[in-house]
Formats: sequence, structure tokens, C-alpha cells
Amino acid sequence: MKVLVTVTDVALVDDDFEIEGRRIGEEYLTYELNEWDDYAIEEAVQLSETRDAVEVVTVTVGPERTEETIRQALAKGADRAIRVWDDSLGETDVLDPVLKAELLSGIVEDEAPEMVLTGVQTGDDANGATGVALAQQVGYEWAAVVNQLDVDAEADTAAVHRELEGGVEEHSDVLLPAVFTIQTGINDPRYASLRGIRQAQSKPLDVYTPADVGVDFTALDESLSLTSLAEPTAESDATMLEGDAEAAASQLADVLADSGVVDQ
Amino acid sequence: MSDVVAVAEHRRGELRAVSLELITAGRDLADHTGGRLHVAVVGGDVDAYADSLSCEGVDVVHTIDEGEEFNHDIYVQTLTQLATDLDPQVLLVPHTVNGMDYAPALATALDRPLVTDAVALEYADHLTATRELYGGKVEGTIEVGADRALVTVRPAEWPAATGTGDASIESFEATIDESAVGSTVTGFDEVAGGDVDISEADLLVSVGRGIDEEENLPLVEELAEVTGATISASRPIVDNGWLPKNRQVGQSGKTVAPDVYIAIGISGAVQHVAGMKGADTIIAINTDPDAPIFDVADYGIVGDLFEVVPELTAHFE
Amino acid sequence: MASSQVTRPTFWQIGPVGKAVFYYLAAVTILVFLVGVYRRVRRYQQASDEPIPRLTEWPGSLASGTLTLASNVKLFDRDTYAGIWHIFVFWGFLTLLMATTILGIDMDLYRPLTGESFFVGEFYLSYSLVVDAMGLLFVVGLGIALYRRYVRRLDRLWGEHTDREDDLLLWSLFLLGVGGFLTEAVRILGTSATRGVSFETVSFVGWAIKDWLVFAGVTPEMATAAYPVVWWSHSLLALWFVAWIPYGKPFHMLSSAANILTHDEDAGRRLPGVPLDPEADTELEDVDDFAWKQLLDQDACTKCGRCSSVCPAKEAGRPLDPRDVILDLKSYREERDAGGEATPIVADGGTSVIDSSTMESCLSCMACMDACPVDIEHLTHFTDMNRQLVEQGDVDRNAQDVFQNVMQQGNTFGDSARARPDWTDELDFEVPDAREEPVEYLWYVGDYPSYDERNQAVARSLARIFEHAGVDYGILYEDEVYDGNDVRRMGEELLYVEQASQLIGALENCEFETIVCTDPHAYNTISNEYSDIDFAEFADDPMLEAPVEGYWNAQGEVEVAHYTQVVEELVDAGRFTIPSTLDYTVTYHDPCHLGRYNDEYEAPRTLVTKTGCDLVEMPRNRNDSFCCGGGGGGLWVEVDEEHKPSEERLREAVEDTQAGSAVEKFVVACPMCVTMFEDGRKTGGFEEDLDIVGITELLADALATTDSQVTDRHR
Repeated sequence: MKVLVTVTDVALVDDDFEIEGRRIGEEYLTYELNEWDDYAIEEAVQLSETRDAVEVVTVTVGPERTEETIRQALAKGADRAIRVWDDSLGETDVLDPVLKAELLSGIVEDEAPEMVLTGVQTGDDANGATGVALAQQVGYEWAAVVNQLDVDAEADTAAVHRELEGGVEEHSDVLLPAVFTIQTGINDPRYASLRGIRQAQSKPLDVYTPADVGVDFTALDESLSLTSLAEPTAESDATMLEGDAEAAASQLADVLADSGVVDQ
Repeated sequence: MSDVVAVAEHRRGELRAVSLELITAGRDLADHTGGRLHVAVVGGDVDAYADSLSCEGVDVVHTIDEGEEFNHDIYVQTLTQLATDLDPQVLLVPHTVNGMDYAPALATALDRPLVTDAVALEYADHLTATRELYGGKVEGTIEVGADRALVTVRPAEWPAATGTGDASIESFEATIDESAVGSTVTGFDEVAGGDVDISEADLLVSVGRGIDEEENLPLVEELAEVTGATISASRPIVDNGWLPKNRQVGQSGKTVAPDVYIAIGISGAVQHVAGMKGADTIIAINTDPDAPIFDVADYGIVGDLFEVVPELTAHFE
Repeated sequence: MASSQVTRPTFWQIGPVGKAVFYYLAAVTILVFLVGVYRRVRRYQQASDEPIPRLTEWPGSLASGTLTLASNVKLFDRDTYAGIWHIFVFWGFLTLLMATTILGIDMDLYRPLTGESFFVGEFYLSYSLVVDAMGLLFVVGLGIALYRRYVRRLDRLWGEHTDREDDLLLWSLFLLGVGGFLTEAVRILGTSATRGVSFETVSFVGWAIKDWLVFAGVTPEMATAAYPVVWWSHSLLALWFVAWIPYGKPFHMLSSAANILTHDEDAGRRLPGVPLDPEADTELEDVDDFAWKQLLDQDACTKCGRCSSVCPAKEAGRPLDPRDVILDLKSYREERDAGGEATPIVADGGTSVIDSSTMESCLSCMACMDACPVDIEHLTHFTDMNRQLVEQGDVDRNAQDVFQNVMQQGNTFGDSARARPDWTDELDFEVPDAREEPVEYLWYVGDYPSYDERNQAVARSLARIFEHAGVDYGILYEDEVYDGNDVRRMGEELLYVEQASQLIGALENCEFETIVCTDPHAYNTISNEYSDIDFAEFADDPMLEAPVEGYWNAQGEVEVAHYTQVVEELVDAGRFTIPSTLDYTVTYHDPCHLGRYNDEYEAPRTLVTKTGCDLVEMPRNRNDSFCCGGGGGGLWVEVDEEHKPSEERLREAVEDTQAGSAVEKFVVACPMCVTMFEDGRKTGGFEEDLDIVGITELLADALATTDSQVTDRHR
């Protein structure tokens, strides 16, 4: 069985950042593995450890910088990695998740995995859409926000739990091949030590352009553009209670007493 | 061509509030595009839902009587057909777990640009949507160059629509390709059940990451005891196993609307705020003056909870 | 009486057949003994190579080891009576052994060769006196040991691994001792029938027992008849004991001695070199992946339990018992050697020999190693296991975050590297930039003093003291990165090497004489471990830039100090005066990495007392200090425990010193201690009892009453 895992890195912004035009200055950004993808990788690697003949392949749409993160995924147990990029992709300010899915669909069609695991969303853009769009494009079934995944012995159905709002879980059976978007908390991601990352240098990491995977990027419709970037205005009209802990607590105690809900 | 279609959401027999918020957003948009506002509801007791959805400002309600509970394949198929029929300028879908379970597929099927989690919408010559970027540190405005779009809308950003208008209710016949339906719901589980229902409490003392360690919980528990409050928590606390899931407030936990909600050491991430925004009085205690929780709080203390909470407890002992 | 008469018969009444049987049995015994010892040694050879040279460094450690061995000095640590009884038994046994050997030489070499015996006259008398006296001490010592084990039932003597062996060793030795005296007494009484034995009073113990036998009605004839039985039982017991030695607990006589003689002076503070080759097999899969010295460690253990009795993690109720870790590994090895099933050495989840939660509980404080009388190096075992856990990916979530933070921002907080020098903003002077000008003291500030609010106050106090004293100092500003000491002890060794590489790179761009550290952890690794890294391994490495060719500071030419040492030097040199203006009652907590690790106990105390404060000592002071709980990942990782180590230490401060609850200030010299104790003070409810104060803050306080404001208003 082949499991494809989409892996991306997310940008973390320093507390003291500055906006330069429609970007945040590069010096204020550090990149790390997307938390949701960490869970997806772990889920895939655990599958490969509990069953025979499972190949875990990661796919990333990203520039060379992402290779650091990709090596982490390889260190955690993925067998090989694919990166898709074209410099023109780096010039757009906004990448419609549907377009990203189109790039990934080329890989999916080539690799024909039985399962694709994506994270529910990324920590920076938080679209939460790539996985489902991808499923639709390649004609796979899908289940989103999965917090438990059990693949049956013959690997043609998966029983999943989906995390809905309000503390409710939906249980479903999904036919394979399918895309699952993985929610945090589904497992306990293992650590990739620096030594492990170095040793993963020997695992294959193939780089493709969109054309290589049969996606004509120039033909992709870029109808979204970022027109401005700003810090959110804090619409805080909270009454701040000043003073040291004692003074503030005292004022708060009055507020609570007045509210009438405190058991006295 | 300049119409707006908003898709409603329901679960286990109840229409969800976000559906009415979408109507407000949709009406606003339709006023600018000069088109009509349609609302679509798929599955379940569509007629009852249609009645509730016929608010002021709604022009047409389309009922699609397919299936009982939510199924993404059904939604994608039926809404693709409806949208192809109506060809609206903007399609609005709630940015919820179920909404995101079909919206991206729908956008793909309809070949529409997709903007997610919009917190503001405007229309001049083009549609612009505002959404958070970089984990919420900044907001960006995105302009849609095309004349068709699918936008998912963040819950609780727009007020719910009210009143009754004179919408016409039309049922829409869709053709379902059963073979394309590849998943079956086998059941539901109330994971957040248990001894206490925090959504019933008048006064909630809620604890977040700021508490640092499990051993420090008694600090907050004491406050709850002397004030007769119920303890609740944000996701990280429950993920760590320090409190059971039935105490979790937030998007994937419970939505609460107590008289008073005291957020202790909680930063106020959007998923948490979604679950407690409805409280009458929100009080926040946090060391970070920039914590987003202060944006929704009525009273705030920028201070160390380890100092403030015991002082507060002392007042009620 | 003729001198040749002043002697005693040997093999009395045993006869030639008996003698032959005895010698035959003795030969068998020795054979069994040698085979046993040979097997043990061969077992060690089957294990992996030992990274630290043990046998080539012999002249040095041999001398100190021999002294340790002969004086039993470590056995007196924290338990005087244990030292007393053991030294009695130790020298008693050795004396009796030498005595028997001397007699054997006389009987089997000297007499056959020369036809004469030296076992007569003055020699015989002095020999008998010494042997009886030492034999008495031997028996008394064993008596004390028996009392402590069975009557007082000392806690640490009764653990999971206590078994029959422990009883057998004590009782067999005791019986040998008593039996020997009994044999002597019976012989004296028996031989008195045929000759004068008045000179035998030198064998005063045997003589006394002879008197009791007489008092009990035993006649010389009865004694004569009984003698062979008494003699044989004593001999057989002795032979059996010797044969038993390599097969059980008595082997510690050899293994513990060997362990002490091959000890590493720098054990713990300088961990064995990191396997630098990225392709190196560092897996700790099975018993032979441990080094031979570690197997010797396991065999040297006498189950005394001192390590566990001083372990702060165990005291706090964490799932760590240092003795059990060593002995569990030993049992597992023995099971495997006997054909048992293989289990992972260490992992998460309960199916391994050692559980990951046990390793996570360790604070790397070295109390166990300090207490161990046979120099077992627990920390090398623990580090190997931590390395294995890291490679397996079994790392606690919080620890993963810390490693990530270090990888990305170069500090354990994950805060922006750019913001590192921001703590200096509040000062009303410029802190010199060591990157731009040569300085005498390059001050390595450290993560906590740079980023943690409470510790920034300590950093500022120290900066003001340097300014006040006119010291030529400077800092690295944004080029400073985390030193890596704790990350190494948690098992992420390559990350440690990366950090060392970056820091050394920054240091190489500066001109300075001494590196002074705020943090004892940094002090430890920079002075003891950085010079062990061979950067030549990374000459062509794409991932790591080697800051120097080969080793850094290989000759120890760069001096590294802790700030208390530097300030004390300044005071000594008259460059800085501490006015004696304070009169608090204070107690000083020795940080593990400054005290026990690096033997610096007095400099901080000097500074404290110079301020005028009344310094009282906690019972567990200096090398007995009780860890704050911050090391080995304790700052970051949450473990199941009953209370915090810091809470127990603060309790000791307010209850167990001579001043009792009058102690007002708890003085610390390490940023981690500041953090852990501030936390423990709140959660343990000690707010009313005392304040946590860094040494520089105390000094600043002393100065503040006479000088410009040197302290932060951090309260």
C-alpha cells in the first residue's frame, strides 16, 4: 500500500515584526514543519510499522527552503520525498488552495497512492481546503478532520472518526482510495533527532516542476491577489483593572459580587 | 449573474446559527452586487428549515430534499447542480467543519476561485474578502479578479438575520449519482459528555495554558469552589489530559454562554473564543497585554495569575 | 621457653590424608575461582569499546583510586558508622587474608626450602596480636552491619533487588570471623593439655573465648577431640567462600576495586565524547552496546542504596531509582546471557527494561555518583539511554519544542535571536560589545538571564557590579547562542555539537582572556566538554560549519570561570569592595553544576559572608546539595511526582538549619535555580517564609545602601 503525505512548512512570525508592502519582512520569519502535517506523517509511519509493504511518500509544494522540513519527515520514517516547485509560484502573494491541489493532483495521478494524508490546515494560511479540493480533483473519496483512522486488513475501506464542533464525533466508513485530512491529537508524533535528519540525507528527494507532473501552471487561473496586509486593529473596549495583584483582584471581586452569580 | 447564494447548515435536526449569519452577510453583498439573495438548504426537514431561513432580506429559499444528515458527496452533487443552474456571482458557505468538508470540492467542481474563513466582505467592482494570515498576526485583503467566487464565512462575525421576509420557497430536484457516494456515516459519539455540562453553568472559571503545570490547577479549583463556579478549560489543557473533554470550551469542545466567563491564562485563540463569545460578561487574566482574549473581554487584568487568583480567592473565602 | 616453642601447630590433628584432602580442595577452589574471574573479564571484553581511556590514564587515577580504596573514604560520606564498620571489615579481611598467605608461605615454601620456620618467637607473637586485633575489628564491623540490616532495617538496604545473596555474604563472613576465633580458642585450650600456652595471651580474643569455654566446663581433652571438626568446618566454609567470590556478591571485592581504580576523574561533568560520525551506529539495542566499563559498573554495585537514598527525583516521588536502573540492566544482562528473550533497553510504554519516564525523571544532578562508594558512573548509562530515546523519537512533547526552539532561534525559549540583548535596555550604560573590542572578560550571559524576566534582573545586577568594579568586560550580543549543556544530557547530542559549534564560532571572532558565565551549566560544558569535540569530523560537512580546525581550547589555554569566582577574585584583588551592610539570616544553595560537578563551594560563600549576612548551612550542603529540579530537562519536561524537588529543598531551608524559621533569604548562584525556586516558593507556600535571591542581587543590595542604585525593582 502506498500512502502519500502532503508536507509543508509554515512561517512563524516574530513578536516584533514589520510589514513591508504586502509581505512581512523575511528577517522576522522562521519556518517550521506544519503541526498538522506532523500528525499526518506520524499516522502514515505508524501504518508502515504495523503492516507489511507500506510505502510512505511525502509531497511538498515549496521552494528549496522546504527541504529542511522535508528531511525531518524523512527522518521520522517516510521512505522518499517529492518536491514540486516553479519560481513563478513564489511570486504570487496568494495561492488559491484549489490551485495548490491541482499541483498535488499531478503527483497523485503519477503515484496512485491508496491513501493521501494531509493536515487539516496549515498554521499560517489556515485555509483548510487543500485536502478536500485535491480529493475532488483526483476523484478520490475523502474524510476531513480525522482524529482516528483504522484501515481494514484488505486496505479497501477505512473506519474514521471525524471531530465535529461541540465535542461530537462522527463515525464513518470510507472507501479507498481516499484523502484524509488529519486533525491534531490523533497520535503522538515522534521526534526527529538531528542525527536522524542527517542520516535521512540518503533517502531520495526528487524535485519536479509543474510541467513534469503534467500541470500547466501558466494556464492556471490566478484570479486572487493580495491587495493589502495590515495588523488587525484591536477592537478592545475592555475595562482594564489597574494596579498590583491585590488591587486588581479587589476590583474584580467587586465586579463579580455585583454580577450576582457568585455563591456567597 | 449578480446573485448571491448562501448555503445553510444544520445538524441533528437543528438549524445552526451560522446559517442566519450568512444571510446577513449575503444580503449585504447582494445589495452591492445588485443581485438577489438565495439560500439553499440540503437534507433533513428542509421545509421546517426553509421557514426559519425565510428572514428579512431573503429572496428565494431553495430546498433540496436529499438525505437526513450531512453527507459531503450529496452536498457537492446537489449544490453543483443548483449553482450551475443559478450561476450566482458569489457562493457563501459557512467556514465550519462540515462546510469545509464540501466547499473546496464544490469550488473545484464549479471551477471557482476559493477564499476561506472570511471575516469581512466588500464589493466595489470586485469582490474583496478580508482574512487572517500568518496565524492571525496580520489581516490581508484579497481581491477576486474573476467574476465568480466561492467564499467560506467565519461564524460569529456577522450578526444573525432576523424577522420574516417574503421569500419564495422552491424545491430543487437534483439527480444523485449513488455510485459517487463513497462514505457512510455509521454513528455519532458525544465525546464531551460526562458528569458536568459546562454549558449549563452561570459562572465559569476557565483555565488555559498559562497555568503551566497540572499541579497548579488547585489554584483555580479553589477559586471555583469559593465562588460556586464550574471549571472549564481551553483545548491544550484537555489535550494534556489535565481535565476531561467535557470541560473543553471552544470550537471542538462546547459552546457556552454563561453570565460570567473568567478566562485565566487563556490567550484567546479564535477557536476558543468561538466557544465563549456569547457570554454576557467576559473577564480575562493574562500576563500578555496583546493577548487576543482582551479583544473580547469586558474586564481585563494584565497580571500574573499566580498572584491575582489567590488574591481573588481570598475575597470570597 | 625457647623461642622455637613460641608458635602454634598448623594442621593440628589433621594428619597427612587430611592435609592432602585440604590441599586438593584448595586447588579446586582456586581453579573455580580463577575460572569465574576469567569468565567475568571475558564478558567485559565482549561489550563495546569504552570511549574514555581508563587503562592508559592509570598512573594518575591509579594513585587516587588506591587512596580511595585504602581509606574507604567514600563510605564515610553522609554515614560515618557505615564507614567505620566497612573499614573494619575491609582491613580485617585483608589482614586475615595476608596472614593466611604469610602462613602458607612459611609452611609451603620457607620450611621446605630452608628447613626452618619464621612463624616463631617475636614474629609469631606480633603476628598473632595483629591478627586477633584485626579479626576482632572484622567481627565487630560485621556485627554493626548485621545490626543495621536486620535490627534497624535501614531503608536503603531493603530494595527491589535485595535478595538472599546479601544475607549470605554478611552471615558467611560473620561465621568465618567468629569461626576463626572459635577454632583458635579450641586450639589454645586443646594444646594447653600438652604444653604451656601462657604466651598465647597475645591472641587476646581467642584467649578470652578459651576462658569462656573453660568457664562453660570444656576440658582440654574435649577441646582436643573437637578440634578437627571445628577446623574442618571453618576451612570448608573458607574454601567455599573463596570459590563463591566470582559468582556472586563477594565479587564486588574485585569488581568494586577495579571500578574505583579505573574511575574517571571527570565523570559526569565531562560526558563521553559524542559519536560524531553521522553514520555511526549509536543504537543501544542490546546489552553489548554498553561499554565494558558500564558492565563493570553494574558488577561493582553492592546494592548499598546510597545513590537512591540521595536522589532528589526519587525523593520527589518520581519513577526513578538509580540503584534499580543499574541493577535492572544487570539482571537483564544476566538473563540474556542465560538465553532470555531480547527486550528494548529503553522505550516509552512499559515494555522495555528501563522506561522512558525513568530517564525523563533524572535531573542530571550527580548526587548518585557522589554518594556511590564504588564510583559507578550512573550518568554515562543514563546519557546513553537518553541518546537512544532521542534517536527512537521517544521524546516528550515539551522537550521536542525546546529542541525545535534551539534549532531555529538558538535559544531554549524560541524567542527571536535578535531580541537576546534586549535585557540591557534598562541599564543606564552601554554594555561593551566583545565582538568589536578586545576585552579581559567575555561574559557569556546565557538563555535565562537574557530572556527570562526574573533572571534578567540578576543579569543587570551583575552588569552593574562589573561597571562599578571597572571590569573590562563585554558580551556577544545577538551572536550569543545557547550553550547546549542540558540538551546534551537529554540525549540530543548532535544538536549540542551544533550549538557548541556556533558558540565557538562566535568566540573565535573575539579577543578575550577569560570567559565568565552566569550559568553554571554553561560553565560546566564550556570548560569541561567543548574541548573534546573534534571538528575535523565536520570539515566537509554540508550541514555543520566547523568553527575551528580540529579541537577548540585543546590545551586549556582559554580560562573559563563562573561569575562568583570572578567577583571573588576582584574582591581579593581589592578592585571591588563589598560593604558589610546587610544583616539578613541567609542560607546558600550549592548549584549542582557549580558545586558537586566542579568543586566550587567557597567563592560564593565568601561573597555572601562579606555582605554581613549571617550564613547558616542546610544539612545537605556542598557536595551533598539537593538539586532544585531544573537539570536534565527538568525545567521543561513534566513528570509524575508527589512534590517538587524545589519544595523539599525550601522546606529544608526553613526547618533544618540552625536558624530554623529565622532564615530570610535563600541565596542561589544559578539562573535555573532562581527559576525553579521561585516556582517552588509559590507552589509550596513559602512566600511568607523567605525570598529567593541571586548572589549578585545580594551584593547589589549590600552596595545599594552606600552607592548608586544597583538593584532592579523586580518585586
